[in-house]
Amino acid sequence: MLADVDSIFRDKIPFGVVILPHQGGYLFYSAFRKEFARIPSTNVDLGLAMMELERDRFFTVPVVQPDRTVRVTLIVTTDCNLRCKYCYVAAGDHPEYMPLWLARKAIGFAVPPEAEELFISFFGGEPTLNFEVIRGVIQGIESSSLQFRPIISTNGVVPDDVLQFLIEKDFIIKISLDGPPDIQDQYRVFADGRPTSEIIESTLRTLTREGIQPRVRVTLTNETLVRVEEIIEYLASVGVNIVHMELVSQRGRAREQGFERPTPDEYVEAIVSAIEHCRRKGIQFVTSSLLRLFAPATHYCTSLSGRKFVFTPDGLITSCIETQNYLTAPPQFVLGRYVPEKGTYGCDWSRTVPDIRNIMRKCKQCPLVSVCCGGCPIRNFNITGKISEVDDWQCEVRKKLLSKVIVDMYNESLKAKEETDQL
Amino acid sequence: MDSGRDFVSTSEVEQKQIIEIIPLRGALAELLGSEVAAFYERAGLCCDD
Repeated sequence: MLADVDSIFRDKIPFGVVILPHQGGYLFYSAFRKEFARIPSTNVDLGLAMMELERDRFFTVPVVQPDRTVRVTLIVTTDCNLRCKYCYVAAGDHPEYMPLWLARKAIGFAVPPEAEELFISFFGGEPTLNFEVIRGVIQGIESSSLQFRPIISTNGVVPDDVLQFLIEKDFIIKISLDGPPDIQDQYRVFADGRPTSEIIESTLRTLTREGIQPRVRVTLTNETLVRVEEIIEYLASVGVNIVHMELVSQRGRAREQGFERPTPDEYVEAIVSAIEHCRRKGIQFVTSSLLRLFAPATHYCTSLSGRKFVFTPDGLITSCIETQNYLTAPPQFVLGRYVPEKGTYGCDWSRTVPDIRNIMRKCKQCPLVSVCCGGCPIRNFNITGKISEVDDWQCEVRKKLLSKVIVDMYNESLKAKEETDQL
Repeated sequence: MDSGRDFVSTSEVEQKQIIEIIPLRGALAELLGSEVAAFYERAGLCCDD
């Protein structure tokens, strides 16, 4: 039981290390070292074992280098050409567009002179509806000497000339697509109910023809969860080779429409199945619960920790892309705003959370904390009403999924070592 | 370490033999530790991106 590990090791688990109960002993996983250490019995001198591992530098934490990378998300519009049934921001209901001058002010505020690299994400609503601002921002950055990489999250219903621009400018293009036409057209539709699957397939064909690796973001619902194998088969058939899967967020239309969550076991089973099928198909797989397996951190997301800026069309700086305007943003997620009198943004850095262990009491001593990081703050907030209080469902999912994946990786590593030793 | 429990004491030599260190390898680690996952962190992308 994880709770046993918790009570035995207390706060002595080094950062970046996970300790799991395993076959009558303990399994240590060092995410930084990318190594496992197995102690086969609980009846050993754990103090001595920890000292031995320390001597072998198993607990080594890399020196943190100054972060000269700037991450900016511009929510260029809250308008949308679709009315997806579970949309967490109810895009299109209260459409606002970010003017180009405000986008430039945002970039000017976020990017200090010493910045070496900029990741600039365009988000919505459907961001391509404000194409002039996207183009204007890109032109502005191109005229500087800053190294940058543009990213866009789109629903894929994009005019040809806009798509060509994104391709020419080497955007990382993330398309929302939930699976075969019957699933896609059940959830992701135009305002009048028209389906979108054929249009998305055409967009994907254009991308693959141009040599672009299509990346797809799949939203799972309670109904589609049992079809992950079929979803991945379909995505492979339309040329997708990078898949990001998440469960529908309990916010916006999803909450209004009463989208329910599966049990934690059902969700974990679906993700494990998705991993297995992606592996067979040669598709790269991403899901938020596992993103920190190789990158332990004290923060869950870059925005809340102050490492990324999210700018909204109405002049806010928020700590989450699910919080997009004055009407819907919980105050806890608002870090600052544009101040017209000063002609620039103001930001209250005390509202950021660089280390979740300082606020999340339940997570502080969890053996998985450095590869879990407390889970998504807005998803916790949606259920518990607090950033600092973990949603029990999310907690159970992450504990089960992370534990299973770590043990599975250990078994594969052990097998590989035994095979090498035999040579 | 004060573990709060009574453990059987072992010598340092015995302890060294007990601990088995295994480097992370295998297809699952490659899949989940891909450059795509690393890019998410570097670019500051999250579950909703």
